[in-house]
Amino acid sequence: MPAPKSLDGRRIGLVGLGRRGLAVARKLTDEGARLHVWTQNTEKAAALGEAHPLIEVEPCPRDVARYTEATLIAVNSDEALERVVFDPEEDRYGVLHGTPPDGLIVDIGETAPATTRSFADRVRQSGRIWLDAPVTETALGGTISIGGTDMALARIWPFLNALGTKVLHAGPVGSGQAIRTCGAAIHGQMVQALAEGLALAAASGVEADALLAALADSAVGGAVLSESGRRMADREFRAGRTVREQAELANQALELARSAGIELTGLANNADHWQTLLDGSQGDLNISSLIIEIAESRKGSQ
Amino acid sequence: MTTIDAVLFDVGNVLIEWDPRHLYRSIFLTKDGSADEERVNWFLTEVCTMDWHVQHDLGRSPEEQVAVLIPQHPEHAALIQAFYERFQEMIPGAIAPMVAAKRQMKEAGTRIYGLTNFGVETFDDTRRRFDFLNDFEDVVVSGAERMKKPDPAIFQLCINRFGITPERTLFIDDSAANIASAKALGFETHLFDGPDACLQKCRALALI
Repeated sequence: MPAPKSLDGRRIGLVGLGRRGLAVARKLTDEGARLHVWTQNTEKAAALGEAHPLIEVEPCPRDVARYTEATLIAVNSDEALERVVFDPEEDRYGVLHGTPPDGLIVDIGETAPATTRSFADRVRQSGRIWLDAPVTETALGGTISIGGTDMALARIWPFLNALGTKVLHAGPVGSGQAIRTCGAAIHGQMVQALAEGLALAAASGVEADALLAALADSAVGGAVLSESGRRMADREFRAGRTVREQAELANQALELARSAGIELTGLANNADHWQTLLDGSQGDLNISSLIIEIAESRKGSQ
Repeated sequence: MTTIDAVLFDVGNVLIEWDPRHLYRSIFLTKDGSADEERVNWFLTEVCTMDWHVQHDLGRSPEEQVAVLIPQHPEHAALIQAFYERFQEMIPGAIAPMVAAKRQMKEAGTRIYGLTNFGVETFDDTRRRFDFLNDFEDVVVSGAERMKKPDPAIFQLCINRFGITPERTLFIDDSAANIASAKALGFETHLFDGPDACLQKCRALALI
Protein backbone atom coordinates (compact mmCIF):
# COMPACT_ATOMS: atom_id res chain seq x y z
CA MET A 1 0.00 0.00 0.00
CA PRO A 2 1.47 3.39 -0.90
CA ALA A 3 2.11 5.78 1.98
CA PRO A 4 -0.85 8.09 2.65
CA LYS A 5 -0.37 11.68 1.52
CA SER A 6 -1.54 14.76 3.35
CA LEU A 7 -4.13 15.78 0.74
CA ASP A 8 -5.38 12.37 -0.44
CA GLY A 9 -8.92 12.65 -1.72
CA ARG A 10 -9.32 16.38 -1.11
CA ARG A 11 -10.60 18.63 -3.88
CA ILE A 12 -9.27 22.08 -4.55
CA GLY A 13 -9.91 24.57 -7.34
CA LEU A 14 -7.12 26.38 -9.18
CA VAL A 15 -7.56 29.22 -11.64
CA GLY A 16 -4.54 30.23 -13.70
CA LEU A 17 -1.80 27.92 -14.96
CA GLY A 18 1.10 30.27 -15.52
CA ARG A 19 4.45 29.61 -13.88
CA ARG A 20 2.96 30.09 -10.42
CA GLY A 21 -0.19 28.06 -11.11
CA LEU A 22 1.77 25.14 -12.56
CA ALA A 23 4.18 25.04 -9.64
CA VAL A 24 1.22 25.05 -7.24
CA ALA A 25 -0.57 22.33 -9.22
CA ARG A 26 2.52 20.14 -9.09
CA LYS A 27 2.95 20.47 -5.32
CA LEU A 28 -0.73 19.87 -4.55
CA THR A 29 -1.06 16.80 -6.78
CA ASP A 30 2.20 15.43 -5.34
CA GLU A 31 0.36 15.44 -2.00
CA GLY A 32 -2.60 13.60 -3.51
CA ALA A 33 -5.07 16.49 -3.96
CA ARG A 34 -7.59 16.35 -6.80
CA LEU A 35 -7.49 19.57 -8.78
CA HIS A 36 -10.26 21.26 -10.74
CA VAL A 37 -8.58 23.83 -12.97
CA TRP A 38 -9.37 26.56 -15.44
CA THR A 39 -7.05 28.75 -17.42
CA GLN A 40 -7.47 31.13 -20.30
CA ASN A 41 -5.29 28.98 -22.52
CA THR A 42 -7.64 26.00 -23.01
CA GLU A 43 -5.15 23.94 -25.02
CA LYS A 44 -2.59 24.15 -22.25
CA ALA A 45 -5.19 23.16 -19.67
CA ALA A 46 -6.45 20.25 -21.76
CA ALA A 47 -2.92 18.92 -22.22
CA LEU A 48 -2.31 19.09 -18.49
CA GLY A 49 -5.63 17.40 -17.71
CA GLU A 50 -4.86 14.56 -20.11
CA ALA A 51 -1.40 14.12 -18.70
CA HIS A 52 -2.43 14.01 -15.04
CA PRO A 53 -5.07 11.70 -13.55
CA LEU A 54 -5.67 14.02 -10.57
CA ILE A 55 -6.36 17.10 -12.70
CA GLU A 56 -9.76 17.85 -14.18
CA VAL A 57 -10.20 20.79 -16.56
CA GLU A 58 -13.38 22.86 -16.19
CA PRO A 59 -15.05 24.96 -18.89
CA CYS A 60 -15.22 28.15 -16.80
CA PRO A 61 -13.96 29.59 -13.49
CA ARG A 62 -17.36 29.13 -11.86
CA ASP A 63 -17.20 25.36 -12.28
CA VAL A 64 -13.79 25.19 -10.62
CA ALA A 65 -15.41 26.41 -7.42
CA ARG A 66 -18.44 24.16 -7.49
CA TYR A 67 -17.20 20.88 -6.09
CA THR A 68 -14.08 21.97 -4.24
CA GLU A 69 -13.20 23.01 -0.68
CA ALA A 70 -11.72 26.30 -1.87
CA THR A 71 -10.47 28.01 -5.01
CA LEU A 72 -6.92 29.27 -5.35
CA ILE A 73 -6.44 32.02 -7.91
CA ALA A 74 -3.07 32.48 -9.56
CA VAL A 75 -3.48 35.06 -12.31
CA ASN A 76 -1.01 37.74 -13.32
CA SER A 77 -2.81 41.05 -12.88
CA ASP A 78 -5.41 42.76 -10.74
CA GLU A 79 -7.61 43.11 -13.85
CA ALA A 80 -7.45 39.40 -14.63
CA LEU A 81 -8.23 38.62 -10.99
CA GLU A 82 -11.34 40.78 -11.12
CA ARG A 83 -12.51 39.06 -14.31
CA VAL A 84 -12.05 35.48 -13.13
CA VAL A 85 -13.75 36.16 -9.79
CA PHE A 86 -16.62 38.45 -10.70
CA ASP A 87 -17.28 38.02 -14.44
CA PRO A 88 -21.02 37.75 -15.06
CA GLU A 89 -20.73 36.83 -18.77
CA GLU A 90 -22.92 34.01 -20.03
CA ASP A 91 -19.98 31.99 -21.38
CA ARG A 92 -17.63 32.65 -18.55
CA TYR A 93 -19.05 33.07 -15.09
CA GLY A 94 -16.54 34.04 -12.40
CA VAL A 95 -15.46 31.91 -9.44
CA LEU A 96 -17.80 33.77 -7.10
CA HIS A 97 -20.83 32.39 -8.95
CA GLY A 98 -19.83 28.80 -8.21
CA THR A 99 -18.60 29.26 -4.65
CA PRO A 100 -21.09 27.99 -2.03
CA PRO A 101 -22.08 30.19 0.94
CA ASP A 102 -19.14 30.48 3.37
CA GLY A 103 -16.91 29.06 0.63
CA LEU A 104 -13.28 30.15 0.36
CA ILE A 105 -11.60 32.13 -2.41
CA VAL A 106 -7.86 32.53 -2.02
CA ASP A 107 -5.81 35.17 -3.86
CA ILE A 108 -2.38 33.54 -4.27
CA GLY A 109 -1.13 35.99 -6.93
CA GLU A 110 0.79 39.24 -6.45
CA THR A 111 -2.16 41.59 -6.13
CA ALA A 112 -2.01 45.17 -4.87
CA PRO A 113 -3.03 45.17 -1.18
CA ALA A 114 -5.83 47.70 -1.79
CA THR A 115 -7.22 45.57 -4.63
CA THR A 116 -7.29 42.36 -2.63
CA ARG A 117 -9.03 44.24 0.24
CA SER A 118 -11.68 45.68 -2.03
CA PHE A 119 -12.35 42.28 -3.66
CA ALA A 120 -12.57 40.76 -0.18
CA ASP A 121 -15.30 43.27 0.67
CA ARG A 122 -17.28 42.47 -2.44
CA VAL A 123 -16.98 38.74 -1.80
CA ARG A 124 -17.99 39.18 1.84
CA GLN A 125 -21.13 41.00 0.74
CA SER A 126 -22.07 37.83 -1.14
CA GLY A 127 -21.51 35.70 1.98
CA ARG A 128 -18.25 34.15 0.76
CA ILE A 129 -14.82 34.34 2.38
CA TRP A 130 -11.61 35.80 0.93
CA LEU A 131 -8.03 35.19 1.94
CA ASP A 132 -4.83 36.61 0.48
CA ALA A 133 -1.82 34.32 0.47
CA PRO A 134 0.72 35.40 -2.15
CA VAL A 135 2.67 32.36 -3.31
CA THR A 136 5.78 34.03 -4.67
CA GLU A 137 8.82 32.13 -5.83
CA THR A 138 10.41 32.52 -2.41
CA ALA A 139 7.17 31.64 -0.59
CA LEU A 140 6.95 28.36 -2.52
CA GLY A 141 8.94 26.08 -0.26
CA GLY A 142 9.50 28.98 2.17
CA THR A 143 7.19 31.11 4.31
CA ILE A 144 3.67 31.95 3.12
CA SER A 145 2.00 34.91 4.85
CA ILE A 146 -1.78 34.94 5.00
CA GLY A 147 -4.30 37.74 5.43
CA GLY A 148 -7.80 36.84 6.61
CA THR A 149 -9.58 35.37 9.60
CA ASP A 150 -8.02 32.65 11.73
CA MET A 151 -10.86 30.21 11.01
CA ALA A 152 -10.61 30.72 7.25
CA LEU A 153 -6.88 30.12 7.48
CA ALA A 154 -7.48 26.92 9.47
CA ARG A 155 -9.64 25.63 6.62
CA ILE A 156 -7.16 26.32 3.84
CA TRP A 157 -4.16 25.47 5.99
CA PRO A 158 -3.48 21.88 4.82
CA PHE A 159 -3.27 23.07 1.21
CA LEU A 160 -1.00 26.03 1.91
CA ASN A 161 1.08 23.85 4.19
CA ALA A 162 1.78 21.62 1.19
CA LEU A 163 3.10 24.68 -0.69
CA GLY A 164 5.35 26.31 1.91
CA THR A 165 7.42 25.16 4.88
CA LYS A 166 5.80 27.79 7.11
CA VAL A 167 2.30 29.20 6.86
CA LEU A 168 1.92 32.29 9.02
CA HIS A 169 -1.21 34.23 9.87
CA ALA A 170 -0.12 37.80 9.18
CA GLY A 171 -3.34 39.62 10.14
CA PRO A 172 -6.64 40.69 8.58
CA VAL A 173 -7.33 40.40 4.86
CA GLY A 174 -4.72 42.27 2.77
CA SER A 175 -1.91 41.53 5.24
CA GLY A 176 -0.34 38.83 3.08
CA GLN A 177 -0.12 41.14 0.08
CA ALA A 178 1.05 44.04 2.27
CA ILE A 179 3.90 41.93 3.66
CA ARG A 180 4.88 40.86 0.16
CA THR A 181 4.88 44.52 -0.92
CA CYS A 182 6.96 45.64 2.08
CA GLY A 183 9.40 42.81 1.40
CA ALA A 184 9.77 43.89 -2.21
CA ALA A 185 10.30 47.53 -1.16
CA ILE A 186 13.04 46.50 1.25
CA HIS A 187 14.66 44.19 -1.30
CA GLY A 188 14.72 46.91 -3.98
CA GLN A 189 16.42 49.35 -1.66
CA MET A 190 18.90 46.73 -0.47
CA VAL A 191 19.90 46.18 -4.09
CA GLN A 192 20.34 49.92 -4.53
CA ALA A 193 22.38 50.20 -1.32
CA LEU A 194 24.56 47.36 -2.52
CA ALA A 195 25.06 48.93 -5.97
CA GLU A 196 26.04 52.22 -4.35
CA GLY A 197 28.39 50.44 -1.96
CA LEU A 198 30.09 48.64 -4.85
CA ALA A 199 30.33 51.90 -6.81
CA LEU A 200 31.84 53.64 -3.79
CA ALA A 201 34.32 50.79 -3.35
CA ALA A 202 35.32 50.95 -7.03
CA ALA A 203 35.75 54.75 -6.83
CA SER A 204 37.99 54.19 -3.79
CA GLY A 205 40.16 51.71 -5.65
CA VAL A 206 38.68 48.58 -4.01
CA GLU A 207 37.85 45.50 -6.11
CA ALA A 208 34.26 44.25 -5.97
CA ASP A 209 35.46 40.76 -5.01
CA ALA A 210 37.43 42.11 -2.06
CA LEU A 211 34.40 44.01 -0.78
CA LEU A 212 32.04 41.02 -1.15
CA ALA A 213 34.46 38.64 0.56
CA ALA A 214 35.04 41.06 3.42
CA LEU A 215 31.34 41.68 4.04
CA ALA A 216 30.04 38.12 3.61
CA ASP A 217 30.09 37.40 7.37
CA SER A 218 29.29 40.93 8.51
CA ALA A 219 25.99 42.45 9.59
CA VAL A 220 25.19 43.34 5.96
CA GLY A 221 25.94 39.83 4.65
CA GLY A 222 23.14 37.58 3.44
CA ALA A 223 21.31 36.45 0.36
CA VAL A 224 21.09 39.90 -1.28
CA LEU A 225 24.80 40.58 -0.83
CA SER A 226 25.86 37.15 -2.04
CA GLU A 227 23.42 36.81 -4.97
CA SER A 228 23.05 40.39 -6.25
CA GLY A 229 26.60 41.33 -5.24
CA ARG A 230 27.96 38.41 -7.28
CA ARG A 231 25.85 39.43 -10.26
CA MET A 232 26.99 43.05 -10.01
CA ALA A 233 30.64 42.05 -9.75
CA ASP A 234 30.34 39.72 -12.78
CA ARG A 235 27.92 41.95 -14.73
CA GLU A 236 25.68 38.86 -15.09
CA PHE A 237 22.10 40.08 -15.48
CA ARG A 238 20.16 37.15 -16.93
CA ALA A 239 17.30 35.40 -15.05
CA GLY A 240 15.93 36.08 -11.59
CA ARG A 241 13.74 39.07 -10.76
CA THR A 242 13.66 41.60 -13.59
CA VAL A 243 13.76 45.38 -13.50
CA ARG A 244 10.25 45.40 -15.00
CA GLU A 245 8.92 43.27 -12.13
CA GLN A 246 10.72 45.37 -9.54
CA ALA A 247 9.40 48.63 -11.06
CA GLU A 248 5.86 47.28 -10.72
CA LEU A 249 6.53 46.12 -7.14
CA ALA A 250 8.02 49.51 -6.20
CA ASN A 251 4.92 51.22 -7.59
CA GLN A 252 2.69 48.92 -5.53
CA ALA A 253 4.73 49.86 -2.46
CA LEU A 254 4.47 53.58 -3.24
CA GLU A 255 0.73 53.20 -3.65
CA LEU A 256 0.52 51.37 -0.32
CA ALA A 257 2.50 54.18 1.36
CA ARG A 258 0.29 56.84 -0.24
CA SER A 259 -2.92 55.17 0.92
CA ALA A 260 -1.44 54.74 4.40
CA GLY A 261 -0.55 58.46 4.41
CA ILE A 262 3.20 58.09 4.88
CA GLU A 263 6.02 59.52 2.81
CA LEU A 264 9.05 57.31 2.22
CA THR A 265 11.87 59.15 0.48
CA GLY A 266 14.15 56.14 0.07
CA LEU A 267 11.39 54.15 -1.59
CA ALA A 268 10.47 57.06 -3.88
CA ASN A 269 14.07 57.49 -4.99
CA ASN A 270 14.41 53.74 -5.48
CA ALA A 271 11.24 53.58 -7.59
CA ASP A 272 12.64 56.38 -9.81
CA HIS A 273 15.71 54.26 -10.50
CA TRP A 274 13.67 51.27 -11.68
CA GLN A 275 11.59 53.56 -13.89
CA THR A 276 14.76 55.07 -15.39
CA LEU A 277 16.11 51.60 -16.18
CA LEU A 278 12.77 50.56 -17.64
CA ASP A 279 12.73 53.65 -19.88
CA GLY A 280 16.31 52.83 -20.89
CA SER A 281 15.13 49.40 -22.17
CA GLN A 282 16.76 47.49 -19.32
CA GLY A 283 13.37 46.08 -18.30
CA ASP A 284 14.17 42.45 -18.97
CA LEU A 285 17.51 42.42 -17.18
CA ASN A 286 17.95 41.27 -13.60
CA ILE A 287 17.50 43.97 -10.93
CA SER A 288 21.22 43.77 -10.17
CA SER A 289 21.77 45.64 -13.46
CA LEU A 290 21.09 48.78 -11.42
CA ILE A 291 24.87 48.76 -10.89
CA ILE A 292 25.31 49.90 -14.51
CA GLU A 293 23.30 53.08 -14.00
CA ILE A 294 24.89 53.83 -10.65
CA ALA A 295 28.44 53.23 -11.90
CA GLU A 296 27.73 55.36 -14.99
CA SER A 297 26.34 58.23 -12.91
CA ARG A 298 29.65 58.36 -11.11
CA LYS A 299 31.52 58.73 -14.38
CA GLY A 300 29.00 61.29 -15.60
CA SER A 301 29.55 63.56 -12.65
CA GLN A 302 33.33 63.56 -12.94
CA MET B 1 9.37 33.44 48.47
CA THR B 2 11.61 31.57 46.04
CA THR B 3 12.34 33.32 42.77
CA ILE B 4 10.76 31.74 39.70
CA ASP B 5 13.28 31.44 36.86
CA ALA B 6 11.44 29.12 34.49
CA VAL B 7 7.91 28.73 33.18
CA LEU B 8 6.49 25.45 31.87
CA PHE B 9 3.55 26.03 29.52
CA ASP B 10 0.75 23.74 28.51
CA VAL B 11 -0.16 24.52 24.88
CA GLY B 12 -3.81 23.65 24.12
CA ASN B 13 -6.23 26.13 25.70
CA VAL B 14 -3.39 28.10 27.27
CA LEU B 15 -1.50 29.41 24.22
CA ILE B 16 -3.87 28.31 21.47
CA GLU B 17 -7.57 27.50 21.59
CA TRP B 18 -8.43 23.90 20.81
CA ASP B 19 -11.83 22.23 20.64
CA PRO B 20 -13.01 19.57 18.16
CA ARG B 21 -16.42 21.26 18.27
CA HIS B 22 -15.10 24.10 16.12
CA LEU B 23 -14.62 21.66 13.24
CA TYR B 24 -17.79 19.61 13.66
CA ARG B 25 -19.95 22.68 14.08
CA SER B 26 -19.10 23.54 10.48
CA ILE B 27 -19.97 19.98 9.38
CA PHE B 28 -23.20 19.19 11.26
CA LEU B 29 -25.71 21.83 10.25
CA THR B 30 -29.40 22.31 10.95
CA LYS B 31 -31.82 23.14 8.13
CA ASP B 32 -31.38 26.87 8.69
CA GLY B 33 -27.60 26.51 8.28
CA SER B 34 -26.56 26.97 11.92
CA ALA B 35 -24.49 24.42 13.87
CA ASP B 36 -26.40 21.34 15.02
CA GLU B 37 -25.06 21.13 18.58
CA GLU B 38 -26.98 17.95 19.33
CA ARG B 39 -25.34 16.00 16.52
CA VAL B 40 -21.95 17.55 17.30
CA ASN B 41 -22.25 16.30 20.89
CA TRP B 42 -23.43 12.89 19.80
CA PHE B 43 -20.52 12.50 17.38
CA LEU B 44 -17.90 13.55 19.93
CA THR B 45 -19.30 11.32 22.69
CA GLU B 46 -20.17 8.27 20.58
CA VAL B 47 -17.76 8.17 17.61
CA CYS B 48 -14.65 10.36 17.84
CA THR B 49 -14.44 10.25 21.63
CA MET B 50 -11.72 11.74 23.82
CA ASP B 51 -10.79 8.20 24.93
CA TRP B 52 -10.01 7.47 21.31
CA HIS B 53 -8.21 10.74 20.53
CA VAL B 54 -6.03 10.33 23.65
CA GLN B 55 -4.34 7.41 21.86
CA HIS B 56 -2.99 9.94 19.37
CA ASP B 57 -1.59 11.99 22.25
CA LEU B 58 0.06 8.74 23.36
CA GLY B 59 1.86 8.26 20.06
CA ARG B 60 -0.54 6.63 17.59
CA SER B 61 -0.36 8.25 14.14
CA PRO B 62 -3.45 9.84 12.54
CA GLU B 63 -3.48 7.05 9.93
CA GLU B 64 -3.54 4.32 12.59
CA GLN B 65 -6.12 6.22 14.60
CA VAL B 66 -8.49 6.41 11.66
CA ALA B 67 -7.80 2.81 10.61
CA VAL B 68 -8.76 1.60 14.10
CA LEU B 69 -12.00 3.56 14.32
CA ILE B 70 -13.50 3.30 10.85
CA PRO B 71 -14.26 -0.46 11.05
CA GLN B 72 -16.34 0.28 14.18
CA HIS B 73 -18.31 3.04 12.42
CA PRO B 74 -17.93 2.41 8.69
CA GLU B 75 -20.95 4.61 7.92
CA HIS B 76 -19.09 7.61 9.41
CA ALA B 77 -15.77 7.07 7.63
CA ALA B 78 -15.65 10.53 6.06
CA LEU B 79 -16.49 12.26 9.35
CA ILE B 80 -13.79 10.28 11.15
CA GLN B 81 -11.22 11.11 8.49
CA ALA B 82 -12.03 14.79 8.90
CA PHE B 83 -10.86 14.64 12.53
CA TYR B 84 -7.16 14.64 11.62
CA GLU B 85 -7.33 15.88 8.02
CA ARG B 86 -9.01 19.06 9.19
CA PHE B 87 -7.41 19.16 12.64
CA GLN B 88 -6.37 22.80 12.20
CA GLU B 89 -10.03 23.81 12.07
CA MET B 90 -10.29 22.78 15.72
CA ILE B 91 -7.88 25.59 16.47
CA PRO B 92 -9.61 28.91 15.85
CA GLY B 93 -6.55 30.88 16.87
CA ALA B 94 -3.99 31.93 19.43
CA ILE B 95 -4.77 33.19 22.94
CA ALA B 96 -3.05 36.48 22.25
CA PRO B 97 -2.54 37.85 25.81
CA MET B 98 -0.78 34.62 26.79
CA VAL B 99 1.41 34.62 23.68
CA ALA B 100 2.40 38.21 24.47
CA ALA B 101 3.15 37.35 28.11
CA LYS B 102 5.27 34.39 27.05
CA ARG B 103 7.30 36.61 24.74
CA GLN B 104 7.70 39.23 27.47
CA MET B 105 8.95 36.63 29.96
CA LYS B 106 11.39 35.24 27.43
CA GLU B 107 12.73 38.69 26.67
CA ALA B 108 13.18 39.31 30.40
CA GLY B 109 15.43 36.25 30.53
CA THR B 110 13.04 33.68 32.03
CA ARG B 111 13.51 30.23 30.53
CA ILE B 112 10.35 29.11 28.76
CA TYR B 113 9.48 25.44 28.25
CA GLY B 114 6.49 23.52 26.90
CA LEU B 115 4.80 20.32 28.08
CA THR B 116 1.88 19.31 25.92
CA ASN B 117 -0.47 16.40 25.44
CA PHE B 118 -0.37 16.46 21.68
CA GLY B 119 0.24 13.95 18.89
CA VAL B 120 3.55 14.25 17.06
CA GLU B 121 2.13 14.83 13.57
CA THR B 122 -0.56 17.28 14.62
CA PHE B 123 1.88 19.21 16.81
CA ASP B 124 4.33 19.50 13.90
CA ASP B 125 1.57 20.98 11.77
CA THR B 126 0.44 23.34 14.50
CA ARG B 127 3.99 24.60 15.01
CA ARG B 128 4.25 25.48 11.37
CA ARG B 129 1.08 27.53 11.69
CA PHE B 130 1.92 29.27 14.98
CA ASP B 131 5.51 30.51 15.01
CA PHE B 132 5.46 31.24 18.75
CA LEU B 133 5.41 27.47 19.36
CA ASN B 134 8.93 27.31 17.94
CA ASP B 135 10.73 29.44 20.48
CA PHE B 136 10.52 27.28 23.59
CA GLU B 137 13.94 26.45 25.04
CA ASP B 138 12.63 22.91 24.71
CA VAL B 139 9.29 21.16 24.58
CA VAL B 140 8.09 17.71 25.61
CA VAL B 141 5.31 16.33 23.42
CA SER B 142 3.33 13.42 24.89
CA GLY B 143 3.04 11.62 21.54
CA ALA B 144 6.82 11.41 21.19
CA GLU B 145 7.28 10.09 24.75
CA ARG B 146 4.31 7.68 24.69
CA MET B 147 3.13 9.00 28.03
CA LYS B 148 1.06 12.01 28.91
CA LYS B 149 0.02 14.37 31.67
CA PRO B 150 -0.99 13.85 34.45
CA ASP B 151 1.44 10.90 34.64
CA PRO B 152 4.12 12.10 37.10
CA ALA B 153 6.72 10.39 34.92
CA ILE B 154 6.33 12.96 32.15
CA PHE B 155 6.87 15.78 34.65
CA GLN B 156 9.96 13.96 35.92
CA LEU B 157 11.14 13.72 32.32
CA CYS B 158 10.82 17.51 32.00
CA ILE B 159 12.76 18.06 35.22
CA ASN B 160 15.60 15.83 34.04
CA ARG B 161 15.70 16.90 30.43
CA PHE B 162 15.29 20.63 30.94
CA GLY B 163 17.35 20.77 34.14
CA ILE B 164 14.64 22.77 35.89
CA THR B 165 13.97 22.92 39.63
CA PRO B 166 10.24 22.41 40.32
CA GLU B 167 10.22 24.90 43.20
CA ARG B 168 11.58 27.59 40.87
CA THR B 169 9.30 26.71 37.92
CA LEU B 170 5.78 27.95 37.29
CA PHE B 171 3.60 25.35 35.54
CA ILE B 172 0.53 26.71 33.75
CA ASP B 173 -2.19 24.28 32.60
CA ASP B 174 -5.97 24.27 32.22
CA SER B 175 -6.45 20.75 33.68
CA ALA B 176 -6.88 20.33 37.44
CA ALA B 177 -5.51 16.77 37.28
CA ASN B 178 -2.31 17.99 35.59
CA ILE B 179 -1.93 20.78 38.12
CA ALA B 180 -2.34 18.29 41.00
CA SER B 181 0.42 16.07 39.57
CA ALA B 182 2.78 19.01 39.16
CA LYS B 183 2.04 20.35 42.62
CA ALA B 184 2.85 16.97 44.19
CA LEU B 185 6.30 17.19 42.57
CA GLY B 186 6.87 20.63 44.05
CA PHE B 187 6.09 22.88 41.07
CA GLU B 188 4.65 26.34 41.54
CA THR B 189 1.35 26.05 39.62
CA HIS B 190 -1.44 28.02 38.08
CA LEU B 191 -4.71 26.43 36.98
CA PHE B 192 -5.48 28.36 33.81
CA ASP B 193 -8.99 29.76 33.59
CA GLY B 194 -8.57 32.69 31.24
CA PRO B 195 -5.69 35.13 30.69
CA ASP B 196 -6.66 37.74 33.31
CA ALA B 197 -6.07 35.65 36.42
CA CYS B 198 -3.00 34.05 34.84
CA LEU B 199 -1.39 37.39 34.02
CA GLN B 200 -2.14 38.54 37.55
CA LYS B 201 -0.31 35.49 38.91
CA CYS B 202 2.64 36.16 36.58
CA ARG B 203 2.80 39.75 37.81
CA ALA B 204 2.68 38.64 41.43
CA LEU B 205 5.65 36.37 40.71
CA ALA B 206 7.45 39.31 39.01
CA LEU B 207 7.59 37.39 35.70
CA ILE B 208 6.04 40.21 33.69
